[in-house]
Formats: sequence, C-alpha cells, structure tokens
Amino acid sequence: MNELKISNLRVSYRSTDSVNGNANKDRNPVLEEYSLTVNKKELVVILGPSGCGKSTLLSAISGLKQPDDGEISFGDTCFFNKADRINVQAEERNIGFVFQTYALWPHMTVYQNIAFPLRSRKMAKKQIKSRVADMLETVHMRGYGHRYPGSLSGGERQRIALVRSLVYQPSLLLLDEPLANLDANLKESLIREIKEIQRKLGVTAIYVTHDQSEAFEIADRIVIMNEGKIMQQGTPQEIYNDSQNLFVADFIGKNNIFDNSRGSFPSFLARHCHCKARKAVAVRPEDIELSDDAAHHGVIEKVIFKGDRTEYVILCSGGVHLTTFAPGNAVHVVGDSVRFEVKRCQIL
Amino acid sequence: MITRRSSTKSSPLSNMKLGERASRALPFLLLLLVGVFILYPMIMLLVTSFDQEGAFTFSGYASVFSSSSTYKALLNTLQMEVGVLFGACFVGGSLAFLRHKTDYKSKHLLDIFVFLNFTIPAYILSVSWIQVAARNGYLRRILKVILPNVQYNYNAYSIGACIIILVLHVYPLVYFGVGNALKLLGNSYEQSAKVCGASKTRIIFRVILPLVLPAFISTGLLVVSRTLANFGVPAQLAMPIGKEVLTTRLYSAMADLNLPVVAVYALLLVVISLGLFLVSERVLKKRVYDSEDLSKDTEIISIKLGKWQGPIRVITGIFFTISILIPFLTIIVTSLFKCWGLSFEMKHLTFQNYVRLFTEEKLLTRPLLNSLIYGIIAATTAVMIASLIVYFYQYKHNRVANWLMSISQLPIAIPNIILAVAAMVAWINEPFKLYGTASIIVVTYTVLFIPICIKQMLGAAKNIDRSMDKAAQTMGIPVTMRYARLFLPQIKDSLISGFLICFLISLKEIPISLLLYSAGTKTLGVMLFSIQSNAYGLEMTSSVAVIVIALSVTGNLILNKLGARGYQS
Amino acid sequence: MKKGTLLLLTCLLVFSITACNPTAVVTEEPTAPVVERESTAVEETAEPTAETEMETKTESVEAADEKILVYISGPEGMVNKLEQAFEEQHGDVLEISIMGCGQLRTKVWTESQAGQIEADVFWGSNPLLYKKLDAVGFLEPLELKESDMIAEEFQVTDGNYALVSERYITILYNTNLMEGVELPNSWADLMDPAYDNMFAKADATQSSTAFAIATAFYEMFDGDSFFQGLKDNNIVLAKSNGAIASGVMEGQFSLGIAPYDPVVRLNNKGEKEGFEVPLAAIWPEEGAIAMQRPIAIPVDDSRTPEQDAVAKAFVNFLVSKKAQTIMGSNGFSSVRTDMPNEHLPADAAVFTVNWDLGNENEEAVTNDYTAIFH
Repeated sequence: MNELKISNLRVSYRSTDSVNGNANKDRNPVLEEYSLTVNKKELVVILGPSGCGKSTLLSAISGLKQPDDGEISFGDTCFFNKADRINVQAEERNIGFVFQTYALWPHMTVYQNIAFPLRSRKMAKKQIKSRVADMLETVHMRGYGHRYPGSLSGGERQRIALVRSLVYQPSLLLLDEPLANLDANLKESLIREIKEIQRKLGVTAIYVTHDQSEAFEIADRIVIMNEGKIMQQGTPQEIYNDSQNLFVADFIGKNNIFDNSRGSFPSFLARHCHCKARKAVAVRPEDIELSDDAAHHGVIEKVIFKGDRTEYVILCSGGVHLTTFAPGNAVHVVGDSVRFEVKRCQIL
Repeated sequence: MITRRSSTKSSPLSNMKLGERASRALPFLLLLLVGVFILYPMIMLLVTSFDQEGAFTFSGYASVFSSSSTYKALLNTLQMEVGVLFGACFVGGSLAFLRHKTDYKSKHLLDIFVFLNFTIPAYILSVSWIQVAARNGYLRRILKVILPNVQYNYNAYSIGACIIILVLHVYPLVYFGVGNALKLLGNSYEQSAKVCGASKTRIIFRVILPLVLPAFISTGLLVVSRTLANFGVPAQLAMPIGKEVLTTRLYSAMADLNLPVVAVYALLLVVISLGLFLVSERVLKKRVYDSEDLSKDTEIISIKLGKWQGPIRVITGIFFTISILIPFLTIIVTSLFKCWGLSFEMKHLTFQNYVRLFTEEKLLTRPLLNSLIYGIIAATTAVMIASLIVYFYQYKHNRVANWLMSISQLPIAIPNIILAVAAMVAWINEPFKLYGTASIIVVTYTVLFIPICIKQMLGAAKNIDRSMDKAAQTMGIPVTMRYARLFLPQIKDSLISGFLICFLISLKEIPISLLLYSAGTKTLGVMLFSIQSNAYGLEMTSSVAVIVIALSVTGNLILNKLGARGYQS
Repeated sequence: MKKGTLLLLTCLLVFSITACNPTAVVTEEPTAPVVERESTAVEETAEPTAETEMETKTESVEAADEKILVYISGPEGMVNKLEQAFEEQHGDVLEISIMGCGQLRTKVWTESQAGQIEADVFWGSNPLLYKKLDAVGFLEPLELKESDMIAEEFQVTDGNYALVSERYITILYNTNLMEGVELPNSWADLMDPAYDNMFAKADATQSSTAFAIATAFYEMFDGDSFFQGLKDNNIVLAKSNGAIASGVMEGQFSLGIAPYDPVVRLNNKGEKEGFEVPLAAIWPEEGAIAMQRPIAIPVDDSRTPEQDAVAKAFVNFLVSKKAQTIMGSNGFSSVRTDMPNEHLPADAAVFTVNWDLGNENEEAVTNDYTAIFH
C-alpha cells in the first residue's frame, strides 16, 4: 500500500524566489517529471551527489517549497495538487523534519525545545511532561531537560533534534543529511539509533544523504538521484550488484568501468560478455581474483594500504588499469608481476 | 494562489487559520503604513515644490537656482564636507592605527576617550567652542591676564570652526570602523611583508593602508552624509557671519514664508544625500577583501614605536585635552555663572541656573519629559515595526517584503531636517492634521528610527540559521508563535540596543523638533538651541547642555554594557 | 528575555504614569508660572476663582468652551505676569504659547496658508505681518473699550488689529569695551570702518523683528546701501534680538543694533541678582526705529461666544492701565495717553516706519538682504 505518493513533480527556483503565478518562465527546474512512492513504515534513503535535488525534494514534500506542477499525497490526504489548486501549508502537514544543522532553538532548554510543538497544539502540561520524558528516555538522555543546546555535543544535539521532530507523532519523518556535521565514529552509533527508533515507532521515513555507508546501513530501499532524476531504486543489494546504468555503477562503491571507446573491450572481459554490442561493463574490485594460475597477467603499479585491506592498481595489456582488493596487509609490491581472473562483471 | 485545506483531515492547530491570514495580510498592512508615513511626505514635498498658491509653477526652482546664495551654500557645504572628511579620516585613522597596530601603551584609555568624544552632542561642542574662542571667551580672558597687550582678533565664527567641531564629533565613527577592519585583518599580511624584508613605513603604506581602504571608504561615506545632514553646528558657527550651508539655507528660507523654495532646497538635499547613499551601497558591495585571521593571534602588534612612544603620547594627550576636557570644563564652568560675560569671581558664580531649570517647569522638566515620552513611544514603535519588517524580509522573502525593506530604509538617506519639512507639508491639512500636536514629532521620530532599528536587527537576524524557522514551520508552529517565541528572543539584544540608540537620539535631536514643535511640545533639543533669549544667556544653555551630556553619557554607557555599537547608527 | 521584558515593562510604566498627566501629551501648556507676584493695584475686586493655576496641571482637559489659545512673542517674565493678572479676574481661560517672533510669524502664516489660524489671539512681532494677513481678510475687527485713552498715533483706523505697545530700536554698546572709543551718533556712522568687526544685529531670516528693522533701514536709506555698509564692517548675525542685548552686555560684541527694552530687563535682573550691567544705548540722529507690537483676533467660525468674549476681554486687558504698567516695567512704551513714555529720552529722535511701504518692499528687502548677507 502506498503511503507517500509523488507524481510528475516539477520544482524550480527563481532568483529572488518570489511568488509568481505564471510558473513557466523560470530557469532550469531542479526536479522535473519526478515520481516516487514510499511505502508505509518504510525507510527510504535518497542517495546522490550534491546538487542532485534531494534536499529540494524534501522541501517540496514538507511544504517549505511550493512546486510548480505535479501532485503529492500522503495516504488519503492530498498535500499538493497543481491541477486542483491544492496546497497544504507546511504547518499543517504534520511531518517531522530533522535538519543538518539540528536547528535547536538556542534560547530554550532541551525540555522547552521538545515541548514547544506540543504547546502550540495546546496539549495539557502534564501530558507534555510525560511525552517529553518518554522521548528523552528513547535517546538515553533523561535528565538533560534543563540544559541548553549550546552545552551539548554534536551527537547529543542531533538526538534532541530527532526526538523533537517525533514528539508530536508525525506519520512521516524527513531527515536531511542529519549526520553530515558529525565525526565518523559518532555517525555509526547514531545512525543505528535512528533506524532503531524509526522501526520502533513505525514511522515512514525519507532519509537524504550523500554518504553511501549510511545508506547501506539503514535503508529498506535506496533511491539514487542525479541531476533531478531517479537513476535507480532498489534494495542495497540490488543497487550494488545490479547497477542499471553507468552513473550508479560509478557512484556506488568502487568499480572498474570499461567502455568500448577503443572499439572493443579488454581481453580479460571476453569470457564474460559478448561485449561488442554493449555500452559499458563494470567489474567490482572484489570480483577480481589474484592467483598464480589465473589466465591474465599484469604489473602492480600502486599499492595502497587501507587498514583492513590493501588496494592494488594493476597495469594490464593495452594500458588498461584495474583496481582490486586483497584482505589484510600487502603481499605484493610495486613492480610485481601478477596473474588475475575476472569472476563477475555487470553489463550496463 | 488558492490554498484549500485537504478535505479529510482536520488540522489540530486551528488557531493557525487566524495567524496564517494575519501573516499574509500583515506585510501588506505594513507596506501601507510605511508607504503613508514615509513616501507620502516625500511626495508632498515634491508637489509643494511646484505649488505656488494653488498654481503649478517652476518659480520655486527658478528662485533657488538663480539665487547666488544657493551656490554659495553649495560651495560652503562642499568645503565643509571635504574638510571634515579628511580631518576625520586622518584623526580617526591614526588613532585606530595606534590602537590596533602599534605597541602604544594605555590602549584602553584610547577607547574610553574616543567613546567620550562620541557622547558629546555636536551642538554642545559648538557652544563650548564659542565660549572658548569668542571675543569675550575664556581663551581671551586667560590671554588678557598673561599677555595683556596682545590684541585678540580671532573670529570664532567660520566654516573652519564648523569643520573642527564636526571632525571632533564624527571621527569616532572612523576610529571604530577602521579599527574593526584592522582587527579583522589580523597580522599575517604584515608578517609576510616583514619576512620579505619590508621596512616599517613600507608596511604601513603599501600593505596595511590598501587593505583597510574599503573600511575608510565606507566610514568616509558615513561621515560625509552625517556632515551633510548636520544643522546645529553650522547654525551656531557659520550662520552668524552669513555663511550658510545647505541645511541652514533651508532653515533661513523658511523665514521667507516661501514654501516652494523650502521644498526645492529640501529636494536638493535629498538628491545629494540619496546619491551618496547609492554610491556607498555600490562601493560596499564590491569591496569585501575577505580576510579572516585564522591564527587567532591575540598579539597583533606589529609596529613598535620605540623612541616615538613618548612624543606620540604627548600629542594624543593634548588632543584629548582639547577635545574632551576643555569642552566639559567650559560647559560646566559657564553653567555656574550668573551671567556669562561676568568676570570669574566667586560672587558671580551660583547654582541658581540649575535650580531654575528644575523649578521652572517650562524650562527643563517639561521639555525633558516631552523628550523622554516622545523618545520612548517612537523608539518602541520603531522597534516593533522594524522587527516585523526584518522577520518578513528574512523568512518570507517575496516582492512585498523587498519593497517594505527598501521603503523603510529610505529615511536613512534623508537628512533629519528634510524629514521635518516633509512631515510639515504632509500633515498640515485635513484629514491627517498632525501639525501642531505631539504626534507629528513622534511620527517623524519613528520614521527616523525605523531604518536604524532595521540595521541593528538585520545583522543579528542574518546570523540565525534559517532552518530554525523552517523546523518550527514543519512542526506546525504558527507564524505568530514563530515570530514572538522564536525570532524575537533570538534577536533580543538588537531589540534592546536598537531601542536605546533611538531613544538616545531623541534626547539630543534638534532639527526635527525645532521645526515641528508647538505649544507644549518643546523638546530638550529645542531648549538647547533656543534657550538663549532675553532672560537667559549662554549660562542657561550651558546648564541644559550639562544635563544633556549627563544623559548622553549614561545612556551610551548602558549601551556599551550591552555590547551594542551605537556609533553605527 | 528577562532583561528585555523588564525594560519594556519599565517603559510602559513610565509611559502610563506620565500619560496620566494629560498635559504632557496633549497640546496644552500649563499655566503655572513661578514668578514673584508684583503688587499692582487691582482695579476690580478679584472674584474667587475656583481653580488656581497650579491645579490645572492635574486636571483633565476641559470641554474648552471658554479657553482660548494665544500665541505671544515677548519676554517670558512679562507674559507670565500679564497672564497671571488676567486670570485673577477671569479664571484659567488662557492657553498661552510663547515663541520667538520669527516663529510666531512663520507659524501664523503657515497656518493661514493651510486655511485656518489656530490661535484665537496672537500678539507680537511687528505690523508687517498683521497688515499682510488683514489684506487677505484673516483678521476680525477689534473694538477697544478704552479707545479714547489711546494716543492718536497708535489708533488703528484702517485695519483689524490694535497696537499694544511700542519699543525702540537703538544702538546698544558695552560701556566697558567702548571706554575711550568714540561712540557712533547715527545709523550712518555704523558704516564707518572704525567700527569694523565690532557689532552685531539679529538675523532677519530668523527674527521677524529683525526683518522689520531691515525693512525700516531699507526705507531710511532708500535701498540696500546700509546693508552693504554693515556687511563691509563684518557684522555678526545673531539668532534673536535678545541675544544681541545679552551679547553686548557679556562683551561678545562692543555694539549692537537692538531694541532698547532688553536693557531695562537686564538692568532689573542685574540689580536683583547682584551683578553689574555695563549696557547703555545710543539714540541715533536719524531716529530710533519705532516698532509697535500689534495684536489681533483671527477669523474663526468655530469659536464659541464664550471664547469670543474672553478673546476680546484679553485684548482690552492688554491696553488697560494695569497691563500697560507691567509692560512699562519691562521696557515697553505705553500707548495710553495717561501714561508717560518713560523710556524715550526727551531729546531723542524717532523714525516712524511706513509699514505699507514695507509690505510693498518685502520681496526686494528679502532678496537684497539674502544676497548681501548670505
């Protein structure tokens, strides 16, 4: 069952962002003919490089930015419909939104921050108190109520921002690169917390990021965007193993990409594909095996120690470079002659 | 753009409807308000310039541009501007340089003295000048005792005197403006120059000076526009010898009862002022030498004074004695005289002047009360309106908000005296007959204050992360709450500083109240300017001046405590 | 938030307290002078008045069916005494606004241009203004009850205004500074280079009396030659006539072209406060310029009969002996036949200005004056 449905959305920015009835004189639209559905209780990650339009998408869904055309609906409710001239204000869509900069109000305590949306809903004081306490408990920050955001660390602030967006029980949660400003090890623990809370509360969520490891960690489904368009959607496995186009193959993980610009594909790919008719072929580094009795040979050009594995760049015949991984410390050195075999490749 | 609520779900935040409608209507209402009180008087000024007793005519323009007095006034104004500009830049710049770039001792004293200089109203400085330099002034009296045979022929009234007094009044603007720039620059530039082997003077003139040139330009323009708009000083020091500048020319023209001529002079001043303002905007847009001292070096001294330390301290000592000590002393001493021209003997001194000020209501207490009340009402109104305008400009950046911002900031480019003349011609007729009441003064003050408050708040507002308001929006918090509970508290300091700055201005403001006051609505500024009459001489002016200085210093001290920078208004 | 709210509350508190004093915000001038009471003979028995001046401050604005608005330019002390004397008999019916003569002229003229002069009575400045307003029908006819006691030269037969007192423009000098210096005997003498840089006069663009003086000189010298002569001697222009008298007394100027009446007041003040006043006057050969101080009631249909009565009573009061005596002690000469002209020396010449000619010449005088002095 569809929960959030976006059809044929068109969003663009004008220079002064002024309200203009005639929508079609603008410059480049950020999103055009964009459609997406998100299922109930699903956590969808929108993954893409900077400027691909993912933040714009969130702005449109939340109601902070009015689209030029298209339709957005959530369950039975229509948020936006250009043809029927419906546009529900952001204040009334009952959506939670976590910002990259946390957006905690500095002059209010943690308690006041979280309680504020409840107060504007005229909730009873006692009820507010218990709700806020519950929320703080959820992120293991009980007792922080009287503190000010300025005295909290980045991770603590993000947790508060998260529960603040959830305290009024929205049915949709939007997160715009919430962990971008945090240290790497903090990110890992926090992202698991986020997933945990989302699952526990059963709230539909859209998580926007440019960080692949985050996406792979928590997504039920990943939507890859580039320049306002959806390049591929699917589970993390599908995205990784079955990249459907050049962009995805290149963007996700490390990949060796070969095209037939020189008329043909490298010889070591011949076994796997009748490649003349194809546009490009991608080979994951981990799908290249180094063994003494493999069919093809090359010379090690670079050795890069990455801690848990070593990367080798192999120079093959025809001037082609190949990157491969090997677990643990380096076995080979620069200049070594090696033999390798391609186990699997993706045809794009 | 029609927005309809979705058919099924009812919003749990029903009070939002009212808030939403209000938020949509409010910018338009504000625009209307601002348009009426700011644009309409200016338009009326234009209309009046063509209107001679009901008939359309160019005679006003003809009189003004064919009269030699106009050109004399323009020349005098230009002379004054150039003099003040160079003087203020030289004094302010040198002191700023001393403060931030050398190892001059007692730097904090520098700050304090410059601050004190800033708190003395220019008009009072000019009064003390007269007391010192006039024919029966203190200087001559002292000289008479020391050198009885020397003739004292110095003429205290001149454009040169105006320049000196105005330089003393505005150089703090340059000091603080250039000082800030010097601070922000850090010393990495000079250090790299030093490493390359440049000499001290080379460093000063080839590295530091060009880098702070933008700061000089922007504060210089501020100095020029303040000088152009000043009325009190040239009225006191140049009008008596028939030398007029544009502002005093306008004031004299009023006596001819020829309103079109007055309007033409007013428009002339507006055009020049606006031109300066636009130039400064353009220059400021280009200028930013983005400099950030990443090393966070607290010791940004790079020039050692060495053997010059002594002589320089003497020079600055003399300067501050002249610019602060002498005015304070003369004003206080004069205020104790029974009658200023008398010789300095105990029997001629008295506290009677102060007693009279506080007992005769019309002299001080009424005007002081008026100034306080008008100031408080106008400043409060301006703060409220400015905060709304800034909020809409930041968070609902549409055409209406842009117009609102542009129009509200217009008065910053218009000299006070013009605002007064415009108010006079606008509000003299039915149905909005404010002329003759306190309201016209309060309204004109408010118009004057709004751009000042906006300037204070805009900086603070821009520092607020935009996502704070957006977050509140998504949480369903209505715009009224967002404005009152989120926006206002975050710019709280600028609200207070804006209020105080405007309030302080109202205490010593002269041209607006002088032109618009009537029965019972005299203000402190009016008293200061016109208390010299049959019964009261300079001694009474001085006692009023002492009160004004006391208020000004106190108010500015409070402002300083709050960390606000009043000198940016 | 606390600091801000506290400040706001304080302001509101101050505002509300002062707002309770309505006279602070409303355009009403309190009628509470703090001067010594002069023991002048009261001709009529003083009716016990319900309110004294002090109480008006705390009372709310009345329905104003009796109160009239009066613009006066004149010395504050004198006006206060006159007001007091009048209100002793009539009650608190006067709302007086004292202003400089230049301001009086500007204000009345501007208001007339806007359609209605706000004041019910205005007094001061000089005849030029009144003739001008009368010519366009802004003034109501005046009947003086004691017109038979008024000297012939002060009777106004062809205009809707009355002349209340007279003052003389003379050459003032500082007795200390001019010791041993030859004093000028005539206006023309002032153009002598010997008096270069020595004297001052009030600026005609800031003082209407000064403007009237300029008009008189224009007539006296048949043109602007006198202006030029003064300019050549580097005359200093002061804001008001009062500033000349005090300026000469203080020694800022050695000589001054100014009315004589401030000398009287300054002498009084010096006597009272115990300092000497080295001020004296020269009555020039061509004649001291006689300047009358007129009074008028502007036409106003919205005035109630009670207000009308009060206005007329005030005008009549000012030409009564009591009022004229008060003015006399302030240096102004009386217009009454039964009072001697105590300030004009017997042998002094007087220059009578032709005010109609003055009005005709107004533009020429303005232009020449501005061109020469500004």
